[in-house]
Amino acid sequence: MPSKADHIQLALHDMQVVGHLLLTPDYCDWTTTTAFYSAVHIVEAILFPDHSPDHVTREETLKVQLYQKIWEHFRPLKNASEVARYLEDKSGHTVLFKNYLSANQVKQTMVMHHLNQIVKSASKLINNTELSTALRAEFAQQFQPPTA
Amino acid sequence: MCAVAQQGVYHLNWSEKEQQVVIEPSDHSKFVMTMEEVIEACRIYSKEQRLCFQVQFTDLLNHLGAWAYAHREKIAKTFLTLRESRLLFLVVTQGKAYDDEFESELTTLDLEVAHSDGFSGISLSVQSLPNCGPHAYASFCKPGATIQYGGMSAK
Repeated sequence: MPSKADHIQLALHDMQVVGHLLLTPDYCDWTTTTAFYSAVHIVEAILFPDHSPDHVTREETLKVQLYQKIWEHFRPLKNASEVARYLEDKSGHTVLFKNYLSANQVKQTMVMHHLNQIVKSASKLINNTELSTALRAEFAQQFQPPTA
Repeated sequence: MCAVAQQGVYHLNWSEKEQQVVIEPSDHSKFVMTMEEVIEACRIYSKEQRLCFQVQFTDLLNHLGAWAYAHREKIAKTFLTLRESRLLFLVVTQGKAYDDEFESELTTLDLEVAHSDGFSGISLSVQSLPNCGPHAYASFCKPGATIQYGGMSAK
């Protein structure tokens, strides 16, 4: 049975993968998807540390007032990851993910904005100083390198 | 009177319709009914729930239609379908590029429906897709359970 700490470890792991994928613009679909998976683990650490619910339960819970800030950023991230994973056109009208979201937009919008806001809100709600610090520190290390 | 199944489920059976059932809710009131009356009460409740859903569903159709119309400049196609045991409001945008402002408005709509007393019996999710062909958006629609909104073309 996973714990709150396990979910945060997985979220940090996914953030590290996002950090690597961002170096290769061709993988902006997987960058978005991995950023979404990181967000899923963050949400599960807060809401369901002991078990993974179905998507519907997770999302309906996120829509309540207390978690609304997270949902406002989780939903666009989820939406984009579903486009990345499932939008497939066999009629010769191919939809390329990089035409939908460029590598730079994935970094700026999906990671630096939406995932960042999820991390910030989650840090306040997680009720564990150590995990909260780890979350913010990993995000800063991966995506906000210190300025010289 | 009533058998308790292995999973802890009480079975109330019509064959015991004369049998009395005592129901004690948390407010300390007490209902003494025959099994037949309990079954009738369930039928009424179920019918009321269906009626309530029908009213809310009609309101939702209108609400989503009005939203889509207000955003018609950015929308190519709009559907209401079923996905993962709930309703899905699926919007195919005019553009092929991600639009953060549009996504934010879609999230606002989603929260508005989720928090509205008028849609309390409805579970809805929203999804946008960039402009794509029928093969692409059809994979997000449940066959036989999809309504397409029409007459909203901005052109």
